[in-house]
This record gives sequence, C-alpha cells and structure tokens, in this order.
Amino acid sequence: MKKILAIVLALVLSLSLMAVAEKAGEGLTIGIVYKQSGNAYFQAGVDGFAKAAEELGFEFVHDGPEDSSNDGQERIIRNYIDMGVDVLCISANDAAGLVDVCNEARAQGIVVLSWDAKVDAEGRDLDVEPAGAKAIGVQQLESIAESIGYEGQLAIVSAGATAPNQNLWIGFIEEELKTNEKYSKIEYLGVVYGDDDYTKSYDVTKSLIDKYPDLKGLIVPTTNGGPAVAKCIMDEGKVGQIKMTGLTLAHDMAEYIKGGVADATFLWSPIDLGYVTAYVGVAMVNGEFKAEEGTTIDVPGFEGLEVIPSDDGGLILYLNKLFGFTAENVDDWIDIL
Amino acid sequence: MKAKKALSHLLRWETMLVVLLVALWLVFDAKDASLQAAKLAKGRKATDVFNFTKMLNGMGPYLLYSFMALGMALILGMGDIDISVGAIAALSASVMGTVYGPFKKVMAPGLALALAILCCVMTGAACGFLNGFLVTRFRELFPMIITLGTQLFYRGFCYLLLGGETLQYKDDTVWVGFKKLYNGSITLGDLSIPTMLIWFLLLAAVFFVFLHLTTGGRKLFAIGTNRVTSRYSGIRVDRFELSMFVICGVTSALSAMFYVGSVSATVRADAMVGYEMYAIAVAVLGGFSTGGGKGNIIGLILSVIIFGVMKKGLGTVFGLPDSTVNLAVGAVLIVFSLLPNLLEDLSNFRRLRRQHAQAQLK
Repeated sequence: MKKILAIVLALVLSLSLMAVAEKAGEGLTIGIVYKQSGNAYFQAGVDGFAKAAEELGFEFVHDGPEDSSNDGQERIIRNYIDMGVDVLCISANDAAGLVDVCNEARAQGIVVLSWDAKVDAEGRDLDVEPAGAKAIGVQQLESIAESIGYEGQLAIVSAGATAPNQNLWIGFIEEELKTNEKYSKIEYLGVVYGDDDYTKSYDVTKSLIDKYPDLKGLIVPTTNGGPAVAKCIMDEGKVGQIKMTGLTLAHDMAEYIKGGVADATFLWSPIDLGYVTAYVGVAMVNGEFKAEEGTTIDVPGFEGLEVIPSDDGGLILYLNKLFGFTAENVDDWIDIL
Repeated sequence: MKAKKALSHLLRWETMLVVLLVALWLVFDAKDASLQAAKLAKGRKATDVFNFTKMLNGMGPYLLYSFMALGMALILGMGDIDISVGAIAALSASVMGTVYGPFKKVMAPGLALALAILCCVMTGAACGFLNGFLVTRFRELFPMIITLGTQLFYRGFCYLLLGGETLQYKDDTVWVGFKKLYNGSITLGDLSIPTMLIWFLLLAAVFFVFLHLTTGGRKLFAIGTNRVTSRYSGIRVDRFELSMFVICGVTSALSAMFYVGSVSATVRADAMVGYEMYAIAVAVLGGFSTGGGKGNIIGLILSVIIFGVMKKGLGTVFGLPDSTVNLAVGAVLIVFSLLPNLLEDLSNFRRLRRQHAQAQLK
C-alpha cells in the first residue's frame, strides 16, 4: 500500500514538475522600476510585461517613486533585492546614480536590464531600447513612400537645424533615398526647419505647399512639428493630395490621422518595449541567452534581435520596430502617448 | 513635582514607541513567514524577505533625513519650525559638487574634497543663519512662512548653480574612496552595518547631552514653553534661537554630505525634495511637539528606526508601492501623535465624572 502511494505521489510530483517546466518563466520574479508612479507611458510598459507574463508564467512587481527621484528608485530597487527578484528592469531617472545599487544586485546574481532610459554601462547587463537611428529614419521613409505610391515630390519638416537626433535620422533617410532603388522615382526636395514651434512649422509648411504645387509627401520627424504640419495641409485643402508621416504623439494627431492627412505616424510603443524586455530577462536568467556582442534572441513578433555595442561602451538591444498609429488604432493610444 | 511629571511623561512616550516598534516587527515577521509558507506550498523557492540582517543592511536610505531630524528637534523644541531643511541640504550638496571640480584642478584632490566638504557645511550654516536672522528679526511673521520663502529661494539657487545638470564624480577615486570611508559599511559576519548609522548615533549622543544634561538644553525648552518669561529670566532668546537655526542648517548639510555619498556620487538640483517633511515627521513621532517645550532624543532615535522598519516592511513584505507607503506612515504618525491627547482627554473625563459623583454623594 505504501509503495503504491509512493509511486502515485512520485508520478504526481513528476507530472507537476513537467507542467511547471512548460513555461520558461515559471517561478521567476521580475522587478520593474520606472521613473515615476502614475505615469501612463510606464503603465503601458507594465502592460507589455503583463502580456509576456501570461505567456511565460513569471510573476512581477512594479513601482516608481512619486517624485521622479533617484533616491526613491534606489529605495525601491533595494526592496526588490530583499524580496529576492531574479531580474530587475529599470528605467532610470539618473543613469549614473543607480550604478552602485545595480551592481549590488548583480553581485547577488540578479540580472539587471535597463529599458526606456538607460543605467550606465558599468551598472547594467543590457540596455533594451525601442529603435536605432537608422530604423527610425528608414521606417518613416518606407511608410510615406507607400502612401504616395513610391513616386513624386517629398520634403522633410524637421525641428531645429542643429537638433542632433533629427539630423541623424534625416542622414539615414537621405542615404536610403540615394542608395535604395525602390525610391528612385521619388524627387527629394530637402529639409525645412520649423524649430519645434507650432507657428513656424505651420508657416514653413505653407510656403512649401505654395512653392511646390505638386508636392506629395512630407516627413515630420519631430513630435512638436507634426500637428502643425497636419493642420496646414488640412487648412490648405490638400487632404488626399499631400500625405504626411512622422514621429508624433497619438493624442496630437488622432483627428488628422482619422481625417486622412496621414496614413500612419510613428512612435515607439512602451507595450512592445516592456514585452521584449521581459522575454530578454527570462531568457538571460535561464541561460538561454547571453548579453554579448553579436548574440541574437527571438521574441514573438520581434525575430533576430541583436545585441550591439552602445555609445557609452556597454551593450544595447534595439527592437527596431516603431509602432504605427493608424485610423483604426489611434483612439486606443490617446490616453497613453 | 513638575520635573517628575515630565519625566514620567517621557518614559511613557518612549515606552509607547518601543511597543509600537515591537508590534510592527512582529506583524511584518508574521506576514513574511506566511508568505514564505505559501511559496513553499506552491513548490517555489522562498526568500526570507524581512529579518534583522536585511533590515540593518538596508537601513541606509532611511537614515538620510535622520541628521536633519536632530536639527529639527532643536527648532521644534523652541516652538519654531523650519521647512527649508530639504532645500538647505540640496543647496549644500550642490555647492559641494560645484566647488570640488575646479578645486581639484589646482590642488591635491584630497585637500580639494576637504575644502568642498567645508564649503558644504558652511553653506548649511549660512542658510541656517539667514533663517534664524529672519525668524528672530521679524517676529510678526510665522517661522513657517519665512522658511517657506527661504526654501523656495535655496531651491532656486540650486538650479542657478547646476541647471538641469547632474554632477557626477563616480570615476573620481578620491571622492569615491572618501565616500566609502564615511559612508560605507562595517562588515561583521553576515551584518554589514551602514557607517551612517554609527555617525547618526554618535551625533545623537552629542545632542542628547546638550538637550538633557546642559543648561543650553534647559534654556531651549524654556524658550519653547514661554518665550516672554524666558527673556525676563535673563535668557538671550534671539541670540540663542539664531544659533539653534545655524546648528539645524549644519545638520542639514551633514544629511547632504551623506546623500551625495549614498547615490553613486551624483549631485542634482532637485535632490532631497520633501525631506523636510520626513525630518519633521520623525521628530514629531519622537516626541517633539510643534508647540515646543518638550521632547527627548531617545524617542527621536526610536522614531528614526520605526520609520525605517515601517517603510521597509510595508514596501517589501506587504509589497505596497513607494508612494502608498507614505500614506500608511502618515496615518500612523497622526494616530500615534494623537494618542497622548486622547488618553489625557479620557482621564480628564473620568476625573470629572468621579468629582461629579462625589459631589452628588455629599
């Protein structure tokens, strides 16, 4: 009798072990620390973690200081270390300020990832970020090219003439226009600058439209310029003839996207970012993935993500996929971005 | 007679704080044990989240405001209040960081750091002096209003010095080495006691001697009880009060020094926002009322520990978000501070009823 009982018990135990082993993140806890509590952007990020948690079976805790302070984040991180989390995913208020506490965590075998806002290279295992400069530029170009049928006049309405991010992206757009055959029928007119000012952006767009009656496409790689350009296209009665795209916030652009000024505008999605970060963290704890230059990881919907060296001498992983706001989905994002 | 009564009051208050501390500890420990049991039952690994070692090792972040709480005790003891201490600390830290950079180019880094720390303390003293000067010179204004003004002034000054920049010296071996010297930890087996705790206890001992064993302390409580009588009894109230404000400024600068040392050697203009409220809360729970004239440093030490334990426990064992922890701490502060008043009301009520009954018997 005892033997049978023992066998049954052993069977049950092994079955339950097998059931546990089904999901990669079972039994793991992820501690998510973001810049500030009550911030819709980071709540969306946590939604991404939650989505991954459903698929991988890990548990997570999340918190941010109410005052966006560095010491508040340090306090939370220390609590999470005490609670015995396996992974820390941190969006840092101060890249340098958290290095010490992060290294304490790593000394205890905790995987430390930064997401959205980095922790300095010496305090993290890997930084997970939305997109590299090239991907940001090329994805906007591809979207507008599709909207205008890969031919016609195209111009860019940028922020300031010296804005470093915008110039980097525009550099990649121009290179792609020159080198990629499929854009050969697009006539590139150049860049005008709206200085991230609503009125100025509106005015330079208006003079562009007046000067080039056949203008078909506009790229606006700055969130402050987008609504002004869209309003101008609408006021000039050019909806349908001129299309735009760019990096914009959803709530700024919702009415224009639905009004047909743009087929899609872009920004990174915090949901995707949280989702991928969670997958990376779990894979690193399980030893399936190491953060070394050149290693790759497959996340559902994001295949072949590669670890590359970052500017600060550490390692970084880009999702390289911006999220497109379209007439169908933009309303869901109004409260978030 | 009065002294005896005061003594018994103090003893009672400190005993209550000890009871509160033990109660909190037991609650957190029990909750921790049940969490572990639940995890083990599910076949998970269980971590001992709340214990003495972890509490002691992680006390650091909850000691940052303890120094300014000591200074605040002096101010509250006189019936004043100073809500600019957080801004004073931020400004002292900003000065320390700003001064160090240029200094170390022209002299030995060690000397530069010593000078920077001196500047930090001097800044705290100067800010305290300004507060004290304004409070004693313009009696028609409440200290609360004056220090509200100076708080905004000092904070603005931080931004003037630093802008939105973060000063960091994490690669500076002298800075980091010295930081470890005064703000590291002492390892005893499993325990790594934050050096900050030892500094705090030493300073608290000095404050204890001053407040409870010297004439200075008696003057202070006399001023807090009745400023006018104190003046007629020959205490130079204004001068004494001014010097207490200076000391409070210096303790804020000490907090700043430890703050700069604690967060990877970075200095920011928006550092230590809201720390004045922690300092006041700690002092009040420790037994220093805003009415002045009473308080005990032993209670303040207990109160610092209680705040640390409460925040840590609520944050880890109960998993409350950082912002919600403050809510719970605030609630405990109010209830616990009201307790003596409620008890007094109750005993008054009983006495009245007894007298009433006796009167009726006659």
